[in-house]
Amino acid sequence: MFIFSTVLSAEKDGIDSAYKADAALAFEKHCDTVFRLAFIRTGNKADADDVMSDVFLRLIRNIHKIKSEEHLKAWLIRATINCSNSFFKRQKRINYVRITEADEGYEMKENSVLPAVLNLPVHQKTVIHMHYFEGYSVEEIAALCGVATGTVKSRLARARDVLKNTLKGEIF
Amino acid sequence: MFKDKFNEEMQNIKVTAERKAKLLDGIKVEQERGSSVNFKNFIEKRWFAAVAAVLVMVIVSVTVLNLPIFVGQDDMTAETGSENSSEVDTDEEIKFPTIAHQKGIPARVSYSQVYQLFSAIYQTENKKYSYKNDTSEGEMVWEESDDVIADGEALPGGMGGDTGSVKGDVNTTAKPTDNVEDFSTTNTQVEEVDEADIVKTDGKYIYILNKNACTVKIVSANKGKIKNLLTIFLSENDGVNQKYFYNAEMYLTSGRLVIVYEYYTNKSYTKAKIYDVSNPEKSVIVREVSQSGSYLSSRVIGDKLYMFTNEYIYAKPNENDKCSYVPCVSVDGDAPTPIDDSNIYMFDGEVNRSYLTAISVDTVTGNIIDSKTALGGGSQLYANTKSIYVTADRSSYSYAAEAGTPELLTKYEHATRIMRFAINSGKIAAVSEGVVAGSPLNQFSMDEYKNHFRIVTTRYDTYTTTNAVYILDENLKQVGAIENIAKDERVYSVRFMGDTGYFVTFRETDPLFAVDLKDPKNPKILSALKIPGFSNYLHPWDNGLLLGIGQEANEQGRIEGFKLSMFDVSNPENVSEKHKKAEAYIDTSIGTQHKAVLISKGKNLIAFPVKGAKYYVYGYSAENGFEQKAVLDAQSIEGMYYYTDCTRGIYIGDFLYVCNYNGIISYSLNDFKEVDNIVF
Repeated sequence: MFIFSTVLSAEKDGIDSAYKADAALAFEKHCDTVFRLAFIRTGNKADADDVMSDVFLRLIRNIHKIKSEEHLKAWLIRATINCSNSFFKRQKRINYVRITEADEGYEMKENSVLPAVLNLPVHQKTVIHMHYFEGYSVEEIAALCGVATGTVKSRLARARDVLKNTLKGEIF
Repeated sequence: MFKDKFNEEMQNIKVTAERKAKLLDGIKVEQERGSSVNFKNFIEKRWFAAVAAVLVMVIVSVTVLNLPIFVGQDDMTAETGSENSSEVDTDEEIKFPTIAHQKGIPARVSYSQVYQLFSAIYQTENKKYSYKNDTSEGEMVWEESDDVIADGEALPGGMGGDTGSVKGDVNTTAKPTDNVEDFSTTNTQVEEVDEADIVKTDGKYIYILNKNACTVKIVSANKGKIKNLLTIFLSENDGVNQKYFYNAEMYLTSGRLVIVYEYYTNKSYTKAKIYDVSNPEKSVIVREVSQSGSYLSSRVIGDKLYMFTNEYIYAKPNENDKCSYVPCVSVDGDAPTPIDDSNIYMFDGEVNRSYLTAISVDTVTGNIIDSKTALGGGSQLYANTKSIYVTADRSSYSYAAEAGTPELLTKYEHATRIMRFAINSGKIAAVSEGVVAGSPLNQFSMDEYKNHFRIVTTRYDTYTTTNAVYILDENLKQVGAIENIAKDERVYSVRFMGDTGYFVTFRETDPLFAVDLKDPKNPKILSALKIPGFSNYLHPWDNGLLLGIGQEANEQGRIEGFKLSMFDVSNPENVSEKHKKAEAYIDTSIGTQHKAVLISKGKNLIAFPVKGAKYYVYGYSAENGFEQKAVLDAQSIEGMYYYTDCTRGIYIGDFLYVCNYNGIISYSLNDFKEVDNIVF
């Protein structure tokens, strides 16, 4: 597993690597990663799609900054978080009515755990997603979100507490 | 486990293929425009004024006070950048190779040529995107390929003939041995050419691949009774690399279980793990073969595995490390060895930063038989017992090799390159090349019959789409074509049946076209049946009957659910829809996943998984049309789900087994009562 902090510091040091990113290839490879994280944060597919297109627009403009494959993924995750934050800000300014609640766009099953996760606060569900689905360690999540490891740990613990209550019988 | 359930549900959250294609096009267009800022978007932002003020201050401080403000700026904030890439002025010209290439014959390329080529492309693209340049010297002359067919066994003229003709009823083709009952096989396109899938059976044992946990479960099936025998853990399941495990599929062939998957460490690799399962309870690994690149597709013909990958060369080539610019192969985790100098080809005089690599492996011994690589990558693959055809979209990022200048193929035309590899018991030879307009939908868009290759394509122009059928000879020279079919529609499914080809296009109503291909030079449309809805998948059912699986739509073209159609094609000049069954509430994507459908004429089964943990079983009779035999529901058993994209139905003898990695439920084929179940 690569370590993001080194990736980030390499970037700051301005190390010129031979790597050159291609936005189209990056999209093909990572669009689902970005989409899922955006989905988790926004809670529905339409908004996730908006955020995703925003992220890749930013990538095209900043493509020359990408130093390596690892950096690309880290950058995309960070950009997804930023873009969804600006999305939330935008949402606050606009008065809008959600047309239908049923149009969730994802398949609901019995014993589904996803609704419980989506009901968590944004910070907590982001951490849950990155830890359980993307498989990042606490240190990596901390580096990606720009917070202390302790914060990540407490967010994880609080999220687990809530989930244990809502999803009785699940093993974490 | 929360993690498993969460992962499972998140796997289903993904960008739809259509949306993906649309966004990808947008990204490419945006990329073409370079990194210039979309000013209109920029001034829409409210903080434009604030940024402008800051910018003025920054400029003043940098120019007047000479403050190093930009040092240590964190790119990770990823805010909308106003960075305009400025051209780096270099006086030195990049030496782009001049390439001699005889049309129609794949040219051979040596290591040094590849190195110079990738260096030149690297320099060109870096210059374009304002990177630092370092130049390399050297003119190069491309070798004319006079001995393309290095392997005498695989002759260029020896096309498949009739051997690779379209398969009839796939599920009855399995040959039962002495004490093994009749069983179903994966629904494949061509007879004797096996395609990989996630569930396989040999009539006694069922093998189930779990893509999430990287395991293969082996269970025994005895008259509906299921017993868990063994779990094979693939070594990538060490908790670290697990999430990089992609596109896993497997084969079962003559006592060998071959698992093919893609994994990612510092770049993508595709690995084939071969297990000896002649005694399934004591399965042992025979060999693992990996090649660089991401997995494109694979086939097993006889007991030889053909594995195809695409590799993109990101980095600057390093002359001392051949694996930095040539695809590499590794056996049992040994140091990777680059593909041999004599096995690198260039098709159709077109190059870009990627490779298409093919290796063949003897599944009995696990030895690599042959390997070939071609500059330029690939997208769709059709294989019969004598030839493998790989198509590649003509990319606007490709360089015209003849030009001798670092000029892209700027004139974008929607076209597809076709590469033909002749195969013979593991030997692969690069034989011929061709180009057609448009691009094929999937592997069913292609076929080889009586020494002619047929392909149905859709061509996307700026405002419209058109469709076409092309017939090419063994050298992939066009001999016949019908163009401009069904303007503004696109192809939804294709099936070739000997002298006749059938394909479906759709906008509002579904024309099923029947095309007479008997005379390759003069193909003609025999009939076009217009009915509402469309079929995503066409399957030859019986003499003169063609089964279509797809979607029902109303007169305006609005999709209204699922549809099964039986077309009467006994007279191709007058095709009719004999029976149909429309179900408004079935939501299933099986039309685009032909391997998920269980079709057996012998058992009178048309069965498939449906969203919502259901498994639908239909039967068909000429008199009564389609009849619903059963709707099987897995929800009664705790911990058991059917997921559409990972559920397969198979039958062994008189029992139906509905399998996915959550477990298996067996049913009797007579009354569809549950016999046994197992939850993993």
